[in-house]
Amino acid sequence: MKKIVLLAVFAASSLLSYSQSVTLKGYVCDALTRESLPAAAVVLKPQEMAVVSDKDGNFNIDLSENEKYTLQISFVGYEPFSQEIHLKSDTTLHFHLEPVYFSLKEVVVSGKNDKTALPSAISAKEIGRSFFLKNNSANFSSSLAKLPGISSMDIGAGASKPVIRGLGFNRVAVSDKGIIQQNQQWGADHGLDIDQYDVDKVLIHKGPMSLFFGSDAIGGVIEILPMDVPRENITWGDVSLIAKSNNSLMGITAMTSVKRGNWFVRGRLTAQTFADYRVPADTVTYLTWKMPIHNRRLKNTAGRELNASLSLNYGLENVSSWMHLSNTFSKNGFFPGSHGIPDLNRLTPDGSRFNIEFPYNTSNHFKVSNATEIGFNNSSLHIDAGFQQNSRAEMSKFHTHYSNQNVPESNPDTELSFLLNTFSANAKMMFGKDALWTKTVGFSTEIQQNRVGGYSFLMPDFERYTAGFFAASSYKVSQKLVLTGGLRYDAGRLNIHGFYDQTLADYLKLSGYNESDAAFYAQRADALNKNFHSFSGAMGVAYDLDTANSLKVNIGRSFRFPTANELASNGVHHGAFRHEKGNNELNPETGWQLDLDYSLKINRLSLLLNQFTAYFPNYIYLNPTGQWSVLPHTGQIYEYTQSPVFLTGGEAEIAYRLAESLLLTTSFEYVYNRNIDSGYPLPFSPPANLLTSVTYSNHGKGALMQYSVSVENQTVLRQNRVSNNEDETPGASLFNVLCSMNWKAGNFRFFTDFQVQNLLDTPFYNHLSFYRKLNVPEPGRNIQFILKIPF
Amino acid sequence: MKKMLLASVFAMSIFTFTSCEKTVLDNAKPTINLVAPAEGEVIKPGSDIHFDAVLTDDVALKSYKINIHGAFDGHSHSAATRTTADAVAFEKTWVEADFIKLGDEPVLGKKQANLHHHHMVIPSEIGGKPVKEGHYHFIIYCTDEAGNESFVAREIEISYSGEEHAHH
Repeated sequence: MKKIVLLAVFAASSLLSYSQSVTLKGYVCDALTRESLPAAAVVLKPQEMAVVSDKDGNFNIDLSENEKYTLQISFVGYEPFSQEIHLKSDTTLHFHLEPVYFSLKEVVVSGKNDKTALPSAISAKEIGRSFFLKNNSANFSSSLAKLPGISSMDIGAGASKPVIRGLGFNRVAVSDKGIIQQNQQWGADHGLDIDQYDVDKVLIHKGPMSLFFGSDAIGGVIEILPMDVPRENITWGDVSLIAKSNNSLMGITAMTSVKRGNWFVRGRLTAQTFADYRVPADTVTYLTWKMPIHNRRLKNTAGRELNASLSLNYGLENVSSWMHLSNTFSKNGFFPGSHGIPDLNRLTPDGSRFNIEFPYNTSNHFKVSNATEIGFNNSSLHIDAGFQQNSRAEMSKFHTHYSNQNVPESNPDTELSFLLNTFSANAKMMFGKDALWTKTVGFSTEIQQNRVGGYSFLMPDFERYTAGFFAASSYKVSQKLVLTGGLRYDAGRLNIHGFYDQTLADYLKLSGYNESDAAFYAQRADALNKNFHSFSGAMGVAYDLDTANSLKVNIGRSFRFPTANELASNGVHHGAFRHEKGNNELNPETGWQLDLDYSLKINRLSLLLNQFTAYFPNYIYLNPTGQWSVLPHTGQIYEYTQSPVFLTGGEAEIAYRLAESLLLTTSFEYVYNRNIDSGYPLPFSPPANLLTSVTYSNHGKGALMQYSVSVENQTVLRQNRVSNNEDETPGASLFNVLCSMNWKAGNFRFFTDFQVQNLLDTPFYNHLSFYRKLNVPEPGRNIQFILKIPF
Repeated sequence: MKKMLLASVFAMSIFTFTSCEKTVLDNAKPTINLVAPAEGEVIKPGSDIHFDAVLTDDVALKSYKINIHGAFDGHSHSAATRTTADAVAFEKTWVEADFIKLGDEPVLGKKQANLHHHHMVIPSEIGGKPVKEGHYHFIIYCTDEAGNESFVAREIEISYSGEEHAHH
């Protein structure tokens, strides 16, 4: 509908002609990524003449010679651009639009010739590279946490994993350029292994997406898309330097891209090193002890990161094939107080804040994949194939509770190691992509192998095979109404290797326990062969009431297969201070969810409301059994159990342009959940959160082309709805100041981003943090600076 | 008008769900007042531990357990097996059932339980070898009937030069 209006305006404008006219040829692109911006609105004042840029970002406009005009260009998600022009002859001008933090760009339900759009009525939020520059936090997940409905589960400053509306761990799928990221997402102490500087475009799907992504896409999907390949031959790149005061972080990331004919290649290298982070507290009170935080630095939370990626694209008229190769490596120290009962001696400074001592964690993620798309007459085939290897180790000086356990001969200080190999393949065929009725069929499969090592035991060896197929469709009833729906079936097999801990059995027998008691504890994993299957699906309606109002309703069923630790683990999880016991009776977890999305866009106002209501008949969680474990460092045994669970909540986002260069944005998120059997809320439920910012942006003088300054307030409410054995978390109100500037001195362009996070150094606790139970506050004031030099 | 209506329906549907919580949940952990052993108390192998504690819960207690393990070299549990060829670190868990067998009254269902006994004995030797001297963690865990759990950890010392406790 909108398109037609715009086309009509375009047609009308081209009818206007002048006797002595000159032509302005314009090209509109993103100032940072230089991606062309199609359908940007170009308005010429005072005539109020309007055109839109075409799909490659180009527009033509005829003007009278020697007359003064004001040209205004606007595009959703970008700062409006305004410039006086005065042309004497035909001229070509390039317009670089500055993206704003608050990206309101939404992917429209299919029917549009957008390869990336899925026939789903769950609205997807698109964010680009500039988001990660302007919202740069410790890592990919914690940067995403600025988005309403997304929170981050952190282990210090280094590693985090995303949580969508309180659903985390294996309830969020991360798809990296067509391949589902597989690491150890079941564990709280494992990050995502994605380089946040190597992300071009991300779609955030909040809601059940198993129909398209299979197991785990219950809470939602974070879909990382490849960049758009430029059409013309071009070589460009950039170098960014990153510095952060709180943890003395120094980082560099550099990228080069080359397009020649049908070939496009791009590579990126990122390296970061950071010291122990500072917290706004001199002591933390854990249990009844007051532990000192010397110099307000949390000992041994330093880390390093080294990432490399290479992408190659070969494109023809109807074929596009990507090869992606990437490796991320990180090494992060663990606060010694977080492992075992803290001892004051272990918290005294060790002389350097940059060193990483025991205990620490290393993680390496290697991935190679191919994504090929072949367009046929009105249909297209998309194939992904990939292999990834995740290798993680927890290192801690050899220690044991069992006097009969000897020091291992090789790698004596490897407490736990995991080696996860995953081969994935997907195929998707879309029919009638330009028609009113589109049909998509797809198939995906995954083969996984896990091997463990180390002197401790947490997770068994296993092999996992899954396969699923789906059919989805969208039907455009009218310009205003689109119906979507689909069904999926998945089957899987999990083969878990049993593990009998002879050392523990012998030790317990020495300690006077009988054979069967000893065996209860020594059987660290049951050998298990389990088959699963599950149906999933979705049905939705997208309705545009008029050009300003649109409404989406979606009902979906998602699932995830239980993980090896949920089915078969048995023993003390030192990070959690708990004896956790698997349950081999678990069924696939399923969830029914209703999503309502409403969006309003009028002149100065943009409003987005998302509401969800979900019912999980068999949510998997750790239930305290009341039965004591005889093992040290643990109280009662927690067993994986399934219970019906009810969840609801939503997000509201408002962007209001107070004046030409002043933008107000506010977002609010809220989650309510409840275990229907026990009445308790679910653990790790994010508290209500309000984020408000005021941004002033304008053109600068001299070398300063454009700048924007924001003041931001994040108010996190108290979380008093907690699961049993979970502590309440107090609220906090934090202030941030952000300033980004676009500079040009001669031909030398650069971009600077300056931020003061937590300006008042307010103590603040993340309810989802790994260190929350130690009462360690989140990092305090941080001043950070990013310099980006494109070439 | 239509827009306003829609917006308010959305806003309302979020908040109506939040106001329907009726069940009273027990999130309060039981409390443990550990009187003895005291912090840093020295215990001689071959003697028992004078244990004195008060457990309380706002609803009903369920049970308790006690664990002792080594806390050497300023590390919570260090390389005991590496350094000591002749001495063996002491480590043991007692669950309440062990004490009930010896005649103690169960704490189950009570709001307060005063515990006082001498059931925990540090052996004079382990498998013919001396007990490793040094710092140990003494940890008491307590649960209530709702599954809430708390614990208190204390550092004690096992030393052959320690005094033997007189029975109270």
